Amino acid sequence: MRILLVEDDPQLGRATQIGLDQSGYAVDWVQSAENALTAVKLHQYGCLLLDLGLPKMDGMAVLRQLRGAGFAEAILIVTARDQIADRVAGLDAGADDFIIKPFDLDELAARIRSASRRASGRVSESIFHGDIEIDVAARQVRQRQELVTLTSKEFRILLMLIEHAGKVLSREQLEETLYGWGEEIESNAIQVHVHHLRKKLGKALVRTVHSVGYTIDKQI
Amino acid sequence: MMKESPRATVSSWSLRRTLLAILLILTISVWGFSAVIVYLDADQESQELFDQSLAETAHLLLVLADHEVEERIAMEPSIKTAHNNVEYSEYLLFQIWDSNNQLQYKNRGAPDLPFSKDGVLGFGVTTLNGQQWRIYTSWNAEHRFQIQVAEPSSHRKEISGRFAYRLFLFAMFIIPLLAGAIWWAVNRVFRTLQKSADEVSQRTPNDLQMVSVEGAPIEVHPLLHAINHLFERVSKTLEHEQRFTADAAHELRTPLAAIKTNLQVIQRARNDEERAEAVGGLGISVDRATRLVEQLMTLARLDPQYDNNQALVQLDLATLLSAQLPSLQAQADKLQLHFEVQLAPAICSVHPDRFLILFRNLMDNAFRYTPQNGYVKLSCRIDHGEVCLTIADSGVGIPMELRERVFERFVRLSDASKPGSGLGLSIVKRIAETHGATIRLLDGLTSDSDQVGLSVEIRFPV
Repeated sequence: MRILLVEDDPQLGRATQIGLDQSGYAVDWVQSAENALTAVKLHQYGCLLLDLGLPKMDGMAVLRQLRGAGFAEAILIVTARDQIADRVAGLDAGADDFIIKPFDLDELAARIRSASRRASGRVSESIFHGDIEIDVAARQVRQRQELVTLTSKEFRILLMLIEHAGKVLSREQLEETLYGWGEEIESNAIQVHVHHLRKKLGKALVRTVHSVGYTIDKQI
Repeated sequence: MMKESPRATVSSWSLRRTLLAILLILTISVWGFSAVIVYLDADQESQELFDQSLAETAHLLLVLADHEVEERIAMEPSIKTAHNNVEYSEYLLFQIWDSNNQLQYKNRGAPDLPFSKDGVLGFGVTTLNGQQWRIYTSWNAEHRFQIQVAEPSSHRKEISGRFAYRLFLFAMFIIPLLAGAIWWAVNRVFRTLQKSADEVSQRTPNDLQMVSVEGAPIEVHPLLHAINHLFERVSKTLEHEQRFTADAAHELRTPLAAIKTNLQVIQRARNDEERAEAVGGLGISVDRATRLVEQLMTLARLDPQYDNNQALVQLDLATLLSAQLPSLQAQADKLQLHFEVQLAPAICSVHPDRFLILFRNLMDNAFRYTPQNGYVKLSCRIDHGEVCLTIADSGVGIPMELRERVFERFVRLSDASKPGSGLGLSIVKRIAETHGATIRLLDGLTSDSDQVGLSVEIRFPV
């Protein structure tokens, strides 16, 4: 899942970006409301982390504008404003959660998972698909109770395909999930990762739709 | 906060007791004074009445005696003592003398010697048998007989004594009543005062509602208004403090969050590069938090309530600023800025320490917001009778519509990529205020870039 982080403080922004990357999320970081609105148009984000005290345009305005435009993914407010009134206003304006600085990176990751889970309509951190069980929080995959070791990128591709089971995802869409801005993308990276997934979880799981992309069939 | 109640320690002077004492003393002395006057007046009046009646009796006796003496002399020329049923001697003695100083007639108990030894006519006083008597001497119309009547003074004394006794009894009865009434009235008045006092004393430090003036006597209104005025100022200060604390806590959250997050990143670092980056971020965040705390402390110390009355010193700004130039020049060289200085002698009164805080804040801003190869110009001079300090730069400037807001606390215009606490200009403004100086923000120096720059002009009264 790709995350957009909107935070104007350089040290906090960069640290949060690295910290979430350590937890296995691709994070794009912008420092202004204007850049956030542009980024949302250009890329698909599973979650948005929004600071309220932004220069020029306030975070609340960004929130209202995004929800007004039908942005359905999880939006978490991360702010120094700790007044009840601010929280109520934020949640009422369409935020999924309200996190007060300073925060714990593990808690932030858990809240991101929880919010995106709700946004996608799931109730648990475990996803079952046939004989495969994915524990999203622990980032572990089991097949027939056996632990299967996946790299971070393989895990993200698998999760993305299973969350969108039945739909065909293009190579570009998958690349978006894996890489933040400025990260170098190897041309055949997705192919390599899918190859490894098939090797570890069985050939039949990921199906190639020729010249379109990849898919995992829906469970019947 | 004092723990003991001020009422317990300060009880030396009570308005109520003083008022009670004054009223009681005044009332009793006025009453006593008028009692004495009434007594003396009544005494005088009764003396006159007694004298009048004594004189009348004398004349009446004289007329009666006239006839009787005429008759008696014709028959039996000897001294006759009147025999009356009434015992006059207790009340009245009289002697009738003829023109030859021969006692012709007297009533029983009257001595044979004349009452009035010197023969003065009218009223007089004499002593008979150790007792004081009031006497009256008069001739009859033909000047043949003289009558001398005497009446014991004790009668009169007895009557005025009775009068005084009644006055005393009345006083014994009326003075406790009066005292009680005064005590009640004074207490009643002070109960309304006590009500206002209770209203104030029941307040907790958080309850700074106005004390109601309604129902309180108008004499107390100035005091209540003063208390309300104080409450108003205290609650403003409190509000200011609370806002300041809230703002400070709020502003510290972001650098603290950066510190915490960088720490966690270091703990989980997957490689040296990541660790190094987070350590760098950590250092910068700690510096920012430190700077913020320092600025907050500076601002707090500048609050009027912490005013330690640092003395104003008459000095030449040019001299004071010259001492700062080497370090400023070094800073400008490091940032690759053109730094120009024009210092003309300008003597004015400043708090040197505070002035330097103001000055450094302004220079920091100028250096921080001016890009490489930009210009920063410092000048001081006397202009229109004021000392004018100007710090101009060719940096990003401040949009016209925001030039008022920048003096508010924690207002930052640029994005956070430029380090700043958002307190610098608040501090500058506060220091300028303590000097009675005015600040103006104007467009700054023009440079190759299209930025308008900023010029801060501070005018100190000479």
